[in-house]
Parts: sequence; C-alpha cells; structure tokens
Amino acid sequence: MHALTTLSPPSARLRLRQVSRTYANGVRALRGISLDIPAGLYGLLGPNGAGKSSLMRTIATLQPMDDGTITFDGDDIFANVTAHRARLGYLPQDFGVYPGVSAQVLLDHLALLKGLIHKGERRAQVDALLQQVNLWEHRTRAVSGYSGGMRQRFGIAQALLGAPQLLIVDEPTAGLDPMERTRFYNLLSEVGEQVVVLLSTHIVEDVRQLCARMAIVVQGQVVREGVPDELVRELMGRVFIRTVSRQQSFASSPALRELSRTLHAGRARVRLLATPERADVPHETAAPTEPTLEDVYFDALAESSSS
Amino acid sequence: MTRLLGLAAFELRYQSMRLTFLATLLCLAFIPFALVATGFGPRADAVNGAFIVTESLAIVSLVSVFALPLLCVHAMLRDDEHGMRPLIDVQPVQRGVLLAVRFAVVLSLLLAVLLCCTALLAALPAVLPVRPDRLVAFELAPYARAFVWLVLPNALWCTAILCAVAAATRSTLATFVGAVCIYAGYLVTALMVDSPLMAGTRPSTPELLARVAVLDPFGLSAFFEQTRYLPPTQRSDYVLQVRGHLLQNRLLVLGLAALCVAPLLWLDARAARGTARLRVLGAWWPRRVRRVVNADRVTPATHVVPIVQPHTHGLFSWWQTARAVAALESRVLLRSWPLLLLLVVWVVVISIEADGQLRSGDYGTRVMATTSQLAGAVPQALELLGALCVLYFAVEVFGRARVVHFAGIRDATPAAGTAMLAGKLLALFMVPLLLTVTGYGTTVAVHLAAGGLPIEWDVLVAHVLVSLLPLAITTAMAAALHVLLGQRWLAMLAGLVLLVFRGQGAALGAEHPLWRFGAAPAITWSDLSGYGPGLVSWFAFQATWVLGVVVWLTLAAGLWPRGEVLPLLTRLRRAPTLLQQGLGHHGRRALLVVALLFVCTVTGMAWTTTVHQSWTSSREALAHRADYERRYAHLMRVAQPSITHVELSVDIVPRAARAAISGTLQLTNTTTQVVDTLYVTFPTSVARVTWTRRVPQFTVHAADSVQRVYTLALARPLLPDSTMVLPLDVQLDGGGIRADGNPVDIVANGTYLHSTEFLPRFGFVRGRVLRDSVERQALGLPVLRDTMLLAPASHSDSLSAAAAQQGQSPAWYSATVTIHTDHDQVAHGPGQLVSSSEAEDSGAGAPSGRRSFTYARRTPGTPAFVISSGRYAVLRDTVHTAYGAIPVEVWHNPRHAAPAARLLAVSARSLTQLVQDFGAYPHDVLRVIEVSSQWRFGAYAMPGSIYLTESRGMLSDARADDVDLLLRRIGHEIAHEWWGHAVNPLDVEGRLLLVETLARYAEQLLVQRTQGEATVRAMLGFEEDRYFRSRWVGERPLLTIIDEDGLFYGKGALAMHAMRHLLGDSVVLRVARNVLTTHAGPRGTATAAGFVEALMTAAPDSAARRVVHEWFAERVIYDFAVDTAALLPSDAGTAVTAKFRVTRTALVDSAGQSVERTQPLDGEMLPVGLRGRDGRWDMLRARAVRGVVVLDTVVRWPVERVEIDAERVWLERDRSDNGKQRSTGT
Repeated sequence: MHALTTLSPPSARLRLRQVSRTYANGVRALRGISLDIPAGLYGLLGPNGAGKSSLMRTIATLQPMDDGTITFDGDDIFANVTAHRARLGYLPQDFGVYPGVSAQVLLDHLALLKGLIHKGERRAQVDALLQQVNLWEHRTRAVSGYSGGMRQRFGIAQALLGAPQLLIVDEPTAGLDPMERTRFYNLLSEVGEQVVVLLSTHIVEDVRQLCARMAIVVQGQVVREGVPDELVRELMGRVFIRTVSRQQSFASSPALRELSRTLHAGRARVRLLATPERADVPHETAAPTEPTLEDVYFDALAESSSS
Repeated sequence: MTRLLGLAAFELRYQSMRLTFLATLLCLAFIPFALVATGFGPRADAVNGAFIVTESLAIVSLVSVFALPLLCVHAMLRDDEHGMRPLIDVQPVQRGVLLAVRFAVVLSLLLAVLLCCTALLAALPAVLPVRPDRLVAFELAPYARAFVWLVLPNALWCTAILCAVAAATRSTLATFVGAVCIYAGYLVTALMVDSPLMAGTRPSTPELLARVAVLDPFGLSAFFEQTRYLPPTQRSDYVLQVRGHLLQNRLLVLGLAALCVAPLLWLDARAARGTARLRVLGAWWPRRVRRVVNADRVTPATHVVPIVQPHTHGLFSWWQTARAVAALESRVLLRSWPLLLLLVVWVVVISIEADGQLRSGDYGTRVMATTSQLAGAVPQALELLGALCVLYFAVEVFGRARVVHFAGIRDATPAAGTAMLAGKLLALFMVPLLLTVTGYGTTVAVHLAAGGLPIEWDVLVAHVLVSLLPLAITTAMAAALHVLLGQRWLAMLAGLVLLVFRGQGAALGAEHPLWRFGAAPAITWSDLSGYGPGLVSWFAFQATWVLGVVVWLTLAAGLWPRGEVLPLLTRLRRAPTLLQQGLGHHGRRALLVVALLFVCTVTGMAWTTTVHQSWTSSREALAHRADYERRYAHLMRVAQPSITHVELSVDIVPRAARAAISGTLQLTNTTTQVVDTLYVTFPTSVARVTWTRRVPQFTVHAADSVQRVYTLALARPLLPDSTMVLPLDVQLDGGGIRADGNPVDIVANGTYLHSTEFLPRFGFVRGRVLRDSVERQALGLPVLRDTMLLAPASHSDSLSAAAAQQGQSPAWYSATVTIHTDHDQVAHGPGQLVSSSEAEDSGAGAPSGRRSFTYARRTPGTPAFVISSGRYAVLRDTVHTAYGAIPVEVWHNPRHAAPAARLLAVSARSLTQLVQDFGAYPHDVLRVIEVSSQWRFGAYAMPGSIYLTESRGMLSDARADDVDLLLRRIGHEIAHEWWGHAVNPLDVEGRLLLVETLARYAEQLLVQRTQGEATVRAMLGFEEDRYFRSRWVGERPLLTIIDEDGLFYGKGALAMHAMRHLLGDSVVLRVARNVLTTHAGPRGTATAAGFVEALMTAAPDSAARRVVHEWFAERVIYDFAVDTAALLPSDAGTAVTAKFRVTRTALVDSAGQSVERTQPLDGEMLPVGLRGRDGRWDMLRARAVRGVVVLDTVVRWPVERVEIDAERVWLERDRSDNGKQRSTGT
C-alpha cells in the first residue's frame, strides 16, 4: 500500500475517521475510511463500485455508517443531522423530478425544505440561482422536460440553495457537453473558494485542474490522498511510454510494469511505470514521458489489486 | 414460439417471486376463509352447496379487482418506472407481443390465485367448524362450473381492462382509479337497473331481473335470476346453467375483454407518443396562470446569489416546510387526470345513488327530497370508495419521490421528517375531502333539481363531519403504514387488510370495536334526533383511534426514511437511534406522552365498554338465552297473575337518554290456580330494578341480575280472580359510551319507549327461547317444539273457553301514566290526555322547568303502550262518521310540516273509509306520531295511536304516480285498530292471519278506491315476489302460520285479493265485520280457522269452497305459460286464438317429508284477459283440459294482448310467460 502523502492538512473542516459500512447483502462498501478535507474542491476518484457514492451519501447523512465518526467543523454530523443538512448542498449522481412542475416552482419548494422560510429572501435566491445556472429563460418550463444539461444545472442550483458550507456533487458532469462542463466547473470553483466541495468524477484530469486535494478510493478504502500535483510529482521520471503491435503483450518485470494501454492507429501505446529504485536505469524500448494524474490513478488501482 | 415461452417463463418467475404477489395471494385467500368461517349466506343454505359456492366465487372475483392493479401495474409500467423502457423497446420483439405475454401472465397469476381460493373454499368446510345443517356432500361440479363460467370470464375482462388502462395511461394512479371505476361501474349498473343485490325496494319484475342479469358484469344477478324462487334445498343442488341471460351476460363480458385486449398495443404506442401531449393537456390551466403570474417577474439585475441562512428550527419553519410539501403534492395530485376522472365517476355514482334514495320508499315508491334522505346516498359509498382511494392515492403521494428519483435531493435537505409527513398527509387528505365535498355537493344539486323540502345546511354539515372523521383516520393510517413499512405495495395491501378487518372482523369473532382499528358502533341519522345518543359512543371510539393514529404518525415521522430505505426489521432494530435523529428531544417526549395517553384511553374505553356498561358478545348472548331456558322453562307450567292496570310515573331526561319509571301494577290472578310466588322477569336492558319500598305482601326470595328474573314470595297467596298491587321502580339508561351502540328509545328529541322495555312479564318469557335448531343443539337444549312459541290451532277450543271465562292471556289492561319531560317537549302516553302541567325545576343544571302530561286509558286495551316525547308540532282534524266524531291528530317534526298536512288528510280519509268497511272505530282518538327513522319498522299501531317512522311513509312523494305508500301504510296501521287492537286473536297458530293479513286486505280496499285496480295488481307483484322468495319445503298453510312474514304478508295479501275476486268485497267484509262483532274485546276468541270457515260458508258453491280451502289450508302454486297465441285483426274486430299450458304444484306430506307434486290442471275454469290499446281489459273464462287451456273467440274491438290470469287471482310462479302482445305475432 502506498503511503498517504498528507495525512492532516492544517485547515481540515470535514474529518472522517474509520468510516465503515456493510450493506445487508454483505457488500462492504466502506472499509475504515479516514480523511481530512479542508475548504475548497476535493476530488474523489475511483472505479465504479469503489464506494464513492456510498461515502458521499454517508456524508450527506442519507445512509448510516456501521462504524467510525464524521465531523464537520468539529460537529458530529449524525449527532444533529438537521443542523448538518442545513449547511449541506447535495447533488446526487442520478436524480429525478416531479413531472409537470416548473424549475421555479420546484426550486422554490426545495428552498422551503432547505429552511428558507422568508418569501422575499427565498425568491431572491431562487431567481439569482436560476440566473447563475443560466436557466432563467426556461424557469417556467417543467424540469421533467429539460435536456440532460439543463437538468444538471437545475441540480446544481438546488444544491446551492441556502448557502451550503459543504457541497457534495456526485459525478455532476456526466452527460454534459464540454461547454456545459466548463461552465459547471467554473461555478464550482467559484463556490469552492469558501466552502468544502466534495466532487466525485471519472474524469481524472478534471480533478487535477480543479481540486486542491483528492483521494482515490478503491474497494471501500482510500489508497491515495493528497494534492494532485504532488501525487503526480511522485511519479516524475518513472513513467515511460512504448508503442507495440496490438497483439504484443508486455511482460511486466519487477522493474517495469504496465500502467495503461491505449490503441492508436492500429498499434498499442503502453504506459509503463518503473519502480523508484530502477527509475534512473535506461530502458531500451521505452521512452520516458511526463506522468499524469491518470498514471497515479492506474498505479493506485494496480497496487490495490496486487495487495 | 420458443421466445414467447421464454418471455412468459421469465415474466411468470419474476412476478410470482415478488413479495407483493405473495401478499396478494394471502389477502385474497383470506376471503374464502372468512366466508366459510362466518357461515356466509342465508342460514338455510349449505355453505358448500351450489348456491353459496357460486355466490362466494363470484364475490371473490369481484373483490380481486382491488388487488389486481398491483399485478397489472407491475407488468405494464415497470419498464417506465425503472428506466428500462429504451432497453426493452430496442429489442427485436414487438411491443404488442411483449404486452400480450405480460397480459397472459397476469391473467394466469390471477387465475392461479383464484384457483387457490376455489380450492380453499372447497376444503375449508371440512376443516373449520361449520354447523352440520349447513353442510352437504362434497360435489366438484358447482366449484368447477362457477370457476369456469363466472370466475374465469370475470378475471379475463377485469385484467384486460386494467392492463389496457395501465398501458394506455402509463400511470399507476390511473390503473388504480380504473379498478375503482370497475367497482363503481358495477355499482352504477346495479343501481340503474335497481338490482335486488343493492337492496332496491322496487318490486322485482321478470323484465327487471332479466335486464339486471344481462348487464351485471360479474354475472351474479344472472345466477340469482336462475335461483330466485328455488327453495334452499334445491338451491344447494342447483348447478349453474349456462343458458339464457347468463349466457348472454358471459358473452357480453368476453366481448368486452376482447375489445380491451385488441387495442393494447395501439394504446401503448399512442401513450408513448402522447405522454407529453397528455401532460400539456393536464397542465394547461396552471401554466397559463403561471405565465400571468410571472409576467411581472423581471430578470434579476444581477445573479449574485444572496447569502441566506436556512432556518431549520421553530414552528414557523416547520409549518412552512409542511405547507410547501402539501402544496407541491396537492398541485401534482390535483392536476392528475386520474383524480379528475375519479371525481367524475364519483359524481355519477352519487347522482345515481341519490336518485336511488329518492326511489327508496317501500315497494319502490318515490320519497320526497330532504337533506338527510339525499345525504344518505353518500356515507356507505364514501366509506368504501373513499377508503380505497385513500389507499391507492397514498401509493402515489408517498411513493412518488422515490419512483421519480427525487428522494435523494429532498432527503438531503434539513426539512423535518414530521413536517414532510404532515405535508404529505395534508395532500393525501385532499382525496377524501374532495370526494366528501363533491359527494354531498352532488346530493345538494340533486335536491335542487328534485324539489322537495328546503335544504337543511346544518344536517348537511353534520353528515360531512361524520363522514370525514373516519376517512381522516384512514388517511393517517395509510400514511403511517407507508412510512413504517417503506414498501408502497405492501403498505397498500396492509391497509386493505386493516380496512377489511375493520369492516368484517366482527364476523370473525373480533366483535368488540377495540379489537378492530378504526371501528366504532354504527350511527344513523334521524331528522328528529340527529345521530342520537350513539354519537357519544361513536365519537369516543373515533377519538381513541385519532390518538392511535397520532402515535402511529409520530412513530412514522421519527422513522421517516431519509436516503436509504432500510428493511423494516433493520429499522426496528435501529429505532432508538432513528427516533433520536428524526424526532429530537421534544418529539420523543411528545411521542411518549401520546403513547401513554393512547394506552390509558384504550384501557379506559375497555373498562367503560365492558365493565361500566355491560358488554355481551353474540356467543355469550346465546349462552345467556340457553341458560334462561334451562333455568326457567319450568315456569311455563306455573300459574302467574296478569297485569290488569298500570299506574306509572315516567320521568324522562331526553338529552341524557335516561328515564326513571315508578308506580304500581295491579295484578289479577286470571288462572284457576292459587299463586304464592311471583316470577317477575324484566327486560335485560333495564339499568336497575329496585324493590326498596316496604310492601308487606311479598319478599324478594331470589334475584337473578343476569336474566333480570326476580322471585317474589307472596305473604298471602293470590287466589283466582283476586288482585294485588306490585310496586315498580325501574331505571333506564341509554347514554354513556357503549361498544354495541346506544339504544334509540330515549333520545333528545323523539323518544319512543315501548312498555315492553320496562314492564315486567310474569312467568316464562317465550320471546327469549332460542329458535335455531343447531344453536340449541350446540348449547345442549332439547329440540324446540312449536308449542313453546304458540299453541297449536287444535288448542283453540280450550283456549276459547278460558278466554271467554277469564279474558285473554296476557290480559288487557287499563293505564294511567304521568310523563315528565323537558320543558320544550310534548309527551304522549296511552289513552287520552287527562292533564298537563308545567313546573319550575329546581334541579341543578336544568335550563328551565319540566312539563308533565297525564294520560289515562280507562277501558282495558291490548297489553302494551308507548311513551313518546319530543319537540312536536300538532295538526288536528275531526272525522265525522255514522258512529260519531273521531279526533285525528298528527304529531310531527316541525321541519316536516308539509308532508304532515298530507298525512293528516290521508289519515282522515282512510279512517272514514275503514269505518265504513269495518264498523265503529274502537278507540277515542287517532293520533299519528312521527318517530325517528332509527327504528327499523315502517309504522306501528297501538290502541288509538300510530307511530310512523319519518323516512318510511311520512316523506313519500305525493307527486309520483306509483302506489301511494302513505295511503298503504296508514291504511294498514289504521286497520290494526280493528285487527289487532279490537279483535286480538287467540295465541294459537294462524293468529297473524287475522292481524296482518286483514290489514293487508284493508290496504287493497283503500288503494283500489283511490288509485284503481291496476295499482292493486302492481302491489301484488311485490307480494308474489316476497312469497316465492320465502318458499321452502317446511312451508306452513296460512291457517297455521306462526310468524312467517312471507306468508302472512305475501301469500296472505294474494289470498285476500283472490277472495275479493272469488267472493266479492261485500261478502268478505260481511265475514270480517261478523268476526269483529263477535270477538272484539278482551274476552274475544277469534281464530284464523273461524274466519276461514266463515269464508267457506259464504262461498257460493263447492268449487269456490275448494278454492278458499286451497288458499288457506293447502300449499299450492300454479305455472301458466302461453304456448301459441294469434291476435288477428279483421273488420269485425279481433280473432283471438290462444293455447296455454297450465300445471298445479302442491306441497304434500309423504312419509314424514314434504314433497312437491306437479300435475296438469284439469277441469278448472281459468280467467284469460284480453287487453285493448286503451288499457281496457275483458276477462273471459276457459276450462283447463289435461293441462291445456284453449281460447278461440272473436271480439269486436282491437285486442293488443292476451294473458292468462291477468288479475293475479292464482298463485303463479312465473308471470313473464303468461301472455303475448299482438305485435309479437304468433
């Protein structure tokens, strides 16, 4: 297991200690996860079924944990779930809406549920959020008739209701076109300056671009945690690239193992990782290359599976 | 084919392994269990006989409609609900094929469930304890035929309709509403054709029965039509015949099923294309409004999001959240077209029900529109459909957020679970509220359209509130179940089970309402007394359940699933934590307080309704009666004195439903033996009997407080013909909280207190004898001899001698009664008013003084009287007869002033005519007093007074052209002033012939004079139907009846009609007057045998004597049918040729058993009627020869119809084939 690069950042607001959860069907979704998450964007990476959504739902108090503690700004989130939810914004991976209800009405309804009980304030915030997510022109249309991007924008608008201190967004850019994605991330970055934003995504480079810190979760455990650039820097000089025929396999050796393989123009481009001790040894058939966060991700996955 | 089989196999496996399917199976399997365990059906029918089996299976198929949507929805909508539709639709299998397979599987599963029910129905009689007399040898055929011809087609068309609705609408709610509509359609069909199943009051004619038989979608009516006149023993052997109307009916429903299945694909495809359109259609109104609302909403100048901190604490925040949830849910609900459709169907159902209410007078007569009469159309339908709709809509309201994946967002908000639950609860309550408001609103519309008495808004509000409270409890229960169980279909099924148990649990042994959540004693409305004292009990139970649902709801709010829905057991295990999170400190404390309060209330209610107020289960009541017979049967042979005068003070407290009766009874020993001990038996309903006054004549030797039998040892034996005075001190209390409902005799307005409710009887009380042979056997009692109920006719000679010497037993008595009542009421007692006074009351809490009325019946009258008291208005008239003037009074509810005026006129007219018929009126006055409709009788005659229930005659609609019910009813009761209260026949078999049958005869005389002979014939149709439905192998001749209403009313009325035609009214009246002259008074010895003997003597010839004898002393029916008929018009008139088949069936004793013998009629002269276009009837007579009657004649006028026995003077089984119209040719 790779050592976690930074265990305790100085300004952690969200702290998880030994969080575990096993579902009724026996699946161990979370296995003793411990994390310290400061303000700003925090990325969660991991393969499907790794436990990211379970972790996020647990932090959103939507499911209980079997063991461990979670505190936000020092408060146990399960001790007073209402108080926690009052400062929470949550955008689930998949959400639906009541058919035939307009964005404005539905947002107003959610604002009320959120605790924005004064009509004027609520209306101002709803209108501003509709503007912010570029839905003002479509506010009277039923959300159930929105396109995927519009619906996702509605999702982030509702998550931002009530000025949340902790924003949990679970794979928010799935199905968005590049422009929408960029707009969405800009919005998140803007919000994330003051609050904790927990972002789960499969687009690894987005994490490097956006998140001050990140964690890679595999099989319910955190296998990497730290600042993305630092994690990448750790692999500096150890990543090589080699182009081989499609059928040719690469026999991993103690010194060099395959990280990933992509097909390109009928040939396979293989990224390889050398062990730290052997990194300075020249490899005849492989050319050194700049490491990426994706290399970190694959390295973490490989280590996790080998262990 | 392989693919289809594979699809079907998958579907079958998938659906049958679901928990909800298993729950459905269990729920439906409970029905046969309940039917067998409770001994469903008439007592004379075997529970495993063909009749009950067929009826039970048809009912099971009807009830399955409520569970069927579960299967249909899952089969037709799961692709959409679970987002699999695109994956399915791209597969190379046609959507229609897929849906057809799913339809077939749903049908197969339903049939499998129904087959299980059939098997259970067949097996359970052998397993459960069933009365031996209700079992016959097992036969497979009734089960098989009922399943194939009733259950299978019913399942097919119901499944087809619901699958089509699900596929076409792609809406769960619409499918459930479809199920409600099927049931509503069944109701509407039944009501529109006045089905006998709906307890319609219109006389059943063959045409009506045929119409019902063809249109009833569940085939029950067609089966009933086939078995209508079969006696129970034949019904048990009757195997369903698939012919005639039943065949037409089955073909009709199969055609309906085909119509639904065929366009399934088309509907589904159309719905797929048109969903958006439908939504737009459904949403156009709110959207337009919204546009207007938003028109002034300008684009914000900036999109900087203002920082607003959430407020998650405090009542205001809680209320805002609840309101928001309620608003959103209501918005979605109110814009859903299934709800609108439901409301439309509901309005139609209530309109037809309300029209039915207006036709609900006895014998199908029309009733004047009053608020309570029309409001009566709503409660029963609302209780059933409203509760079902609540359960169905709860699935939508509580399941929608998860189905559309909105729950994730919602649950992450800080909104309190209690607020969300409250909001959804409010939204769900919109459903019963809308149904209630539209239901009662419809009755108002019908009222305005029908005219009648003015609308009484206070009455309407009372009905609305009483309807809404149980529905509110059901709504809360449904909400709590959804939250606690966490699975929408299970919650719905659990709700259904609770509802069924609430309604039918008493039959399964859970008689006390506290065993059945939501149950309460029934209450009915009366214009005089409102809901009466029963309202207190009803409200106490409802309040208990309100507390109960508050506990449920508080628990549910605490366990409201946020995010992950944990399995029920897990949630229960984690309940303390979840409650801590969900409720908070104050919430938990509130839960504890409410739970404690509920427990205390239930405990208090249990004590109040079982200890403080006595509670007797039906089993215990039977045991008490058996015990009474065992302990006191010997008193039948013990000489006891009779009451010959009563001197009473009756102190009524109407609002408290209490009365204190004190005074004395003068007892006379009318026997020939010395009496040294009195066995005084009071009604078990009296609250207290006190023997405190020191009277030296007797000592209380024994007191049986259970049976209310007191044994008094007389200090000095009472010799024959000597008298003594017995003090009386009795308390009646009908108030308080009672589990079995409150008595309705003493009420705030309209008290009707019969003397049998407080006066004792002496010796053995025959009315307490158990009459059911199986119950007697089960309780170890000997076989009942009829002599325990009534003396045999052969004893009339000895009884006549005793009566002529000492007077009748029980003796007639005179009475002086002083009634004290509230200051605003007038009271009535036996005889004439002697004095009245008004006194200031010193009692604490009394608003003002009390009033006293003293009545005296100076000459002895039949041994009973009634005390009444109420806020009555009185109308008066005087009838001048050849024998003197008779005052006539009508005491009525002031709100019924208009019908009271007609009542007075009808009473005066009837009295005038009956005096002419029967001779001098035997009493001083005729008072007609309106009493509460909570009494089940139509009217009741006492000497000089008639008690008429407000809804059964009083409010009959004079504008209608049907038989005048008021005239019939009043005429009948006035006739009792002679037949019952002047002539009181001996207590021997046949006595009711002289009481009830002659009153029926008086009705015919009055109706014939006022409305004509055609109306009399229409009346007789009802009597015929009543008689044939009551017929069985143990039938007695009229001469020896005991208390069979099918005989003394039904056959008796037909017999008297036949006598009128055979002998003429003048002869019959002469015989009747002779009986009155000879036997009127306390020493009268009239018997049915004497009356019939007089009729035979008056008959002109032996043929007529034989007819008289056959009607009264035999059990004979006839069957006439037209074989061929030709009505050929010519210049000379009409040539009539007709041939009829005529048979006679007699019930005769053979080898100790009664058997039917049918033979062709030979030698009898039978009447054949010819009817012209103008309604003219000409009666001809033709002789029967070896079962055939031939008519061949020419008449000089155009004949429209030829019919045998058109005047209804023969007892004919089926009149539908008695004649032919000219237009039908030969």
